[in-house]
Amino acid sequence: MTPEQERQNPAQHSVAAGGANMDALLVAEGLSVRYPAGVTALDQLNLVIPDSGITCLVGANGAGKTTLLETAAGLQAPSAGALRVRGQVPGSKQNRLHIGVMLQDGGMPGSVRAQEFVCYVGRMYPHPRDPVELLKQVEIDPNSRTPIRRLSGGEQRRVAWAAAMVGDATSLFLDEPTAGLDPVGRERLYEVLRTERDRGVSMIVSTHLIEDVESLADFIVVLHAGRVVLTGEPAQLRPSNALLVRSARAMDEQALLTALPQGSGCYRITDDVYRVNVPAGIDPSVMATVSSWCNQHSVTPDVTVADLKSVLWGALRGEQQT
Amino acid sequence: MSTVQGKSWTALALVHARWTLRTTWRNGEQILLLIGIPLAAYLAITRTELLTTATPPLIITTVMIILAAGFTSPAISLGFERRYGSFAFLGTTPLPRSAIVAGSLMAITISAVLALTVLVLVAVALGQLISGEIVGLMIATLFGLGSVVPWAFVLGGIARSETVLVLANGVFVVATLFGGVLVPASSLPYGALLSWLPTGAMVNVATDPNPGSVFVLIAWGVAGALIAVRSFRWR
Repeated sequence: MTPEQERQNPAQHSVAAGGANMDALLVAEGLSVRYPAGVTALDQLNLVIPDSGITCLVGANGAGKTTLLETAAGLQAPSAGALRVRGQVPGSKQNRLHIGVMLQDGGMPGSVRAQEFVCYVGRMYPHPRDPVELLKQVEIDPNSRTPIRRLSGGEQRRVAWAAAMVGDATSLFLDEPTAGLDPVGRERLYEVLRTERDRGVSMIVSTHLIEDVESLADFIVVLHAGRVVLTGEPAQLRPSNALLVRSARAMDEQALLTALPQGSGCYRITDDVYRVNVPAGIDPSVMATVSSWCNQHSVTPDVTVADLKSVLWGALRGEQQT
Repeated sequence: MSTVQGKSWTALALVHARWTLRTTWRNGEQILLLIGIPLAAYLAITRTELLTTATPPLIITTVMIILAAGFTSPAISLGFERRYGSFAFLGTTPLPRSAIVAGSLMAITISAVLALTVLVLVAVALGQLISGEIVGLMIATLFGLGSVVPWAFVLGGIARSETVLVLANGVFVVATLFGGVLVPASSLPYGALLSWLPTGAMVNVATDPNPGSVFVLIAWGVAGALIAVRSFRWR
């Protein structure tokens, strides 16, 4: 990240302001995690995740989602930088009491029944929820005698959701809970997570599915190659106030801004795509202003209203955004 | 942020001990290993002419149970729990690693005592228990378990689960046959060396409790524990 980009990264600003941010679920400052094999999974990450609602941690395979969640759960030590979860060191006693975790590979023994496993996990907490009720909620028969290894992949995921929730956690870290689920199973999870959100539980849910983000996210974090490329609430990122400009020739962003309402911003997503943020909203006059400016200053420009999906797609490919 | 008082360390260790016992005694292969094979060997020696040995059958069977309950069974469980990622998941719950180890040790001890109780009941029923053997057997059980359990953590904590399965069972068979247990040390060409191995030392302690053999068992236990502490991989 160049100094210029760092200045533009909003996560940077929120970390600076977030030193006293008591409502943060997770605060990372310059967090790096390198594996012994020499792979850098997280690269000087700066991030603040609010302690409310559902935060979707989005990224392609290998972007660093699992590493971030495992580091936040205390399973992986940072190589550099600082990470605080609920204001504490990851994996602290209080965090382990208050945060329910679902790992990507489940971590469940194969030979036991779903109810036995969820009961066992529940016994580790002072005030566990009723395992039978939880299993019913995720649509697993609590009386089933089938061992976990004989359940389908989707059913095993549901048992892992129940195990994450049984401790009556105030926060949940779920690593790709929808992986391998059919659309009905995903919809079921959405309902379960929305119910948890309504109970006041804050969540970080990692996924590579844009559909999950559109259905669930109150806050979005996009990772690419171990770095944060985008953070914000869907409404901020949503495109009622953003345009995408495709231009065959480099444009002078600063000059364009002088033609737009105050508070507007413009940055380059890729070599030939610019994003123009107009917080005041996109109306026909703004469209006309941008189009005419581009027609004068660029070659064959194409101006379109951006949607959330297009923003996420760009971010997933690693396009640096502000 | 609210602060919640979690369960005590002891309560958590007991939760894990109970769980380990439950999963062990649910598994048919484990029951075969802990009770089936040792008892079959006991009956073969005492009731048939198939096996003849100078070592008292109760001692042979006790050493087999200690090896099964203290080494083979926990090594396999640990190996598979690592493969399933159980320890990684447990690392996110309030269960501390020290309570996992303590709970496992409790479960191993209880499993060994349960299996030995079955053996003693069978021996009593057959009228073959000599009361003088009991003290030696108890000392052998105590120090024998201490000598082999750490090695279950060494093997179960570093190798892949399939390798653990093969090695843990292989060690059980080889040590039982050629470690001075079923075939007496005196009939083996390397018999003198066997008193330095846990199996040979356990037989010696059970037969004739002596400080030298107890020291050998303690030394194996300490060495294994030191290696286990350094080498155990939780995932």
